[in-house]
Amino acid sequence: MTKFVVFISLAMTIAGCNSLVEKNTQTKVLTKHVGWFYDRCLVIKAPNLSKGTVVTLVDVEATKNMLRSKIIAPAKNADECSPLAEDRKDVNSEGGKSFYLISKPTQTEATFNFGIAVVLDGQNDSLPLSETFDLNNDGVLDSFSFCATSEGISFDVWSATPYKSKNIWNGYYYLGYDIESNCPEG
Amino acid sequence: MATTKSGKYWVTWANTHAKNSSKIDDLDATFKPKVKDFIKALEDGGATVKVKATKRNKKRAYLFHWSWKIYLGKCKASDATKLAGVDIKWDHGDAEKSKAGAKEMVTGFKLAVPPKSVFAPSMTSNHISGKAIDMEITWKGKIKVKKKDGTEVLVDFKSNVKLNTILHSIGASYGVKKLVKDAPHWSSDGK
Repeated sequence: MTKFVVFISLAMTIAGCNSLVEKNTQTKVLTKHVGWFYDRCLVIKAPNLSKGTVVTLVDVEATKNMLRSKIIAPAKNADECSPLAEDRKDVNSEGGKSFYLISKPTQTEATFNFGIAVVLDGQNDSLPLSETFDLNNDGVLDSFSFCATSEGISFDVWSATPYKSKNIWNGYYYLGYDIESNCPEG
Repeated sequence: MATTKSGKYWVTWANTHAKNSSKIDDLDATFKPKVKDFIKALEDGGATVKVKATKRNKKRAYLFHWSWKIYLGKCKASDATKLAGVDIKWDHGDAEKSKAGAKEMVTGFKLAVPPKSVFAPSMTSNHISGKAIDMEITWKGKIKVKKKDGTEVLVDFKSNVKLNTILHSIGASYGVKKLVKDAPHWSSDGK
C-alpha cells in the first residue's frame, strides 16, 4: 500500500495535477486538492465540492495562520469572486479550475484575505493542520510563499525553505493588469 | 478644463474610453508581425492559440495606479501626477474624502488589495507599449512547429507552459520571448 500511495503521489505530481495524496489512519488513500483563495473566493482544481466541505487555509501574507473554512456555494460572478472579473477569468479558469465562495474563518479577527487552501477528499476534517499542510508527506510542515509577478500573484508551497528547496505546488492569480513585480529571478 | 473628482464615475468612463485590447492588430508595429508569424507557425503545426490580452490602455493603467495608491494610503492625493486626456481630481481637499473616491475606483476596477501589499498597478509595461501578448497555447501530444529559420522542431505539450523550454525557444526565434513567471505572457524582450 505504501508503494501504491507513493506511486500515485509521484504520478500526480509529475503530471502537474493540483491534487496530492496521503494515507490516513485507516491506510486509505486521502487526496489533497490544493488551490488558492482571495478574499472569500477559492480557486481550485476540484469540481463539484459540496456545501459544507471543509477548506483549510493558510494566510501567506500576514501570520501564516492556518484556519478552517467551509465551502458555501460555487462562485458565479466577479462581484463575489474577483478572479472571475472579465479581464482575468479566462486565464484563471485554465486547467479546469473551479471557483467557490468560502466562509470567513471564525477563529480570527485579523485581516485574512489571501493565501493557499487545501481540501481533503471525503469531508475529512479530522486530519491535523500540520498534516494537512504536509503535501509531500515527509512528516514536516511545508513552507509557503507568495510574490508579485508582472501581472499576477504567484503562490508556492515548498518542502523546506522557500526558493531554496523543492517546489511542491504553484498557483497563479492572473490579475489582468500590470503590477510592480517582486518575485525572485529564475 | 473642468475636472471630475475621483470616484465610480471614472470606472464607467474607463470602461468606455480607456479599454484594454485583445486584438493582435493593436500591438506595436514592430512586434505585431513577429507575433503573427509565431502564431501562424503554431497553428500550422496543429496548436490552438487563444489570445487573452494585447495592448493595455495607458489611461486605464494611470487610473489603476493612483486610485490604488491613494486608497491604500501609500501616498497623498496631492502626489498624483497628471495625464493628458484624463481630467480627474484626485485631491478632494479632504484626505478621507479623497481616499473614499479612490476606494470607489479600486472596488469598481476590482483591483487586488492584499492588506500588506506593496504591489501597485504599474503605469508602464510592455503591454502598455504594445509589445506584449497574453495567450493560451494548447495541443495534444507532440506537434512539429517551424522556427523562424524554417527548421521543424518536435515539441511536447506541457500543461505548465513555464516548463516548456522548447516552446520558449520557438517563440524566441520569432522575437516573441517568454516571461516564465507569468504563464500566459510573451513579449518583445521577455519582460
